[in-house]
Amino acid sequence: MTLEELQKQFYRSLLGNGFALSKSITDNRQLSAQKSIAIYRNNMHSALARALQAIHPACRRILGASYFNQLARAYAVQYPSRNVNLNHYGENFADFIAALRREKKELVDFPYLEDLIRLERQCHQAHYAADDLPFDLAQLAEVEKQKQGDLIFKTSHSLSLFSSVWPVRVIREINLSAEQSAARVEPLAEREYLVIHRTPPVTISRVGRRHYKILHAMRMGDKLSAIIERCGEMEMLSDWVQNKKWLQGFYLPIYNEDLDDENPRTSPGGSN
Amino acid sequence: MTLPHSPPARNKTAVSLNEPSKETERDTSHPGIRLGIGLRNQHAAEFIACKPPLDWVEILADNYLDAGGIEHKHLERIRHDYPFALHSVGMSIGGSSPLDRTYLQQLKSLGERYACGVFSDHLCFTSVGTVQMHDLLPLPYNEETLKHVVKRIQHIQDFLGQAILVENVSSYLQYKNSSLHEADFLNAVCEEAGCSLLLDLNNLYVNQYNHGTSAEKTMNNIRMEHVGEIHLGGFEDYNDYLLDAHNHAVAEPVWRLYASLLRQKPEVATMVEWDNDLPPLSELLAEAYKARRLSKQVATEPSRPS
Repeated sequence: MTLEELQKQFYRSLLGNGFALSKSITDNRQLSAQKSIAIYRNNMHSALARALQAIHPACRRILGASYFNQLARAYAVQYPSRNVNLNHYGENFADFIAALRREKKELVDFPYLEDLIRLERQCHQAHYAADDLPFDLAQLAEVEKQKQGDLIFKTSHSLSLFSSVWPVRVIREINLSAEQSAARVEPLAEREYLVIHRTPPVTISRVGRRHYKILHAMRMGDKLSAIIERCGEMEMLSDWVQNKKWLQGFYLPIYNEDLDDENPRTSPGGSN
Repeated sequence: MTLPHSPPARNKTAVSLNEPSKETERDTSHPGIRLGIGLRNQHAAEFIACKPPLDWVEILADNYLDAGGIEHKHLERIRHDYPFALHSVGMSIGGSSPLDRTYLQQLKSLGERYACGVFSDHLCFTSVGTVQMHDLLPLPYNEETLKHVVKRIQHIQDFLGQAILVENVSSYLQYKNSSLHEADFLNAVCEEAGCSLLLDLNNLYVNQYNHGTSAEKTMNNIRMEHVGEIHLGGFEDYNDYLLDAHNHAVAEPVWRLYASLLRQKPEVATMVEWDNDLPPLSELLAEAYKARRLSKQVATEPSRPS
């Protein structure tokens, strides 16, 4: 058996329930081949469960450590980790839970869980996002007036948006504190719009629908003129730059007439 | 390509591990080991505040692969006062899938960002195809593996632009197709790849317990010129086997191995690691200072006739 074949056999033994690797390893007086494989299987699952726990502390508290670990184990088998960086593990966890909820009666009482998982993941990503360079609002004044409509703002590296009909912001808060989580959760009367950002620390701010749409358009790379046309004046801009630090810079697209307008080059302003 | 060393110590006496010691400042006069700890995020703020008397700090690269966050702010502060060694767990040196160049580039960038003089990872495989196993999976010790890992270490060293240290791992199984003793395998890897050995004494002891090998014999068969650094850590005792869990203080048999090693290589760079069930920083530092005391004791032992 080649080294590569042996490693594939190892992989199948860890991810599955079989013990194919047993044929390739020695039994010794203390550790049978099956026990050896079980140790490695447990090591892998423990590492992955710890990673999910670190990303989803509120979800774990709601479900209880034991059940959460069971789910983490099932998730690891269905979605093997493909990123060496464990901070990025679990990208399909919300979808996995959503699918599971249809068949597991234990999850029926938690219709908000997928949204909570997504929110926790975004908070985790905000924690590790790249730092922003300082952005001085005065730089905007240097842009010629007739070009200001072409400005494209760059949101902070750590900023992300989230909306839900479930009060997941509060659910997360309660479950990260010493308080007991509410027994029954009802949907909100109106969808809640949230901005996740590392100030630091990571904060979750409620915003109105209009501001949410503006930030979303900025993240999509829409020009200032298009955003104003759809969402109205940008009276909050200086607050977002100076106080909230949600914006980290801007740039002006430079159109080469020989190229089609869909492929603008950029002329940076603010930070890069 | 080792951590900065002081001149070797000489004499030998009986070793006592229990003598308390008060460490107040960096001991630059002592000609023995260069001492470090594995820094964990939870200890970083306290570490900055108390500036412990250590010679260097090991950074677990995999905790800092993302570019931002408070963790990097802590590292920047600490780097002002201590040299860093960059340790990683994801190179998959013995893996059969292609080396992950993105990961290697991240390590290289981290090394440049913090001017790390030392890179190290484990002699094992951690991925199969595109799947990451997040565990240090053992390799069979034979000629095929030897050729394979030597080639990959050389690629890694070319990429990083410097020699690396490779660490021996603990294991819970032995392969039927292993044909080389662990020490012979480690010696051959270092000789052929031009790397150094990060000798984890706890791993040697765990293997002794789990497989009935002799840690002392394995250690004595390792050529000391290859040893660039020592790791000391604790294990979890499950009665029928030991788990290399890094969740306890260093065990007495491992300290004895360390004392024995110091008699052969008194100036070796040494690091104490503790990853799970983290104690207060003071407890981890006490373990590290124990290593320093031990090296002083070994250095003052009367020399034995050779």
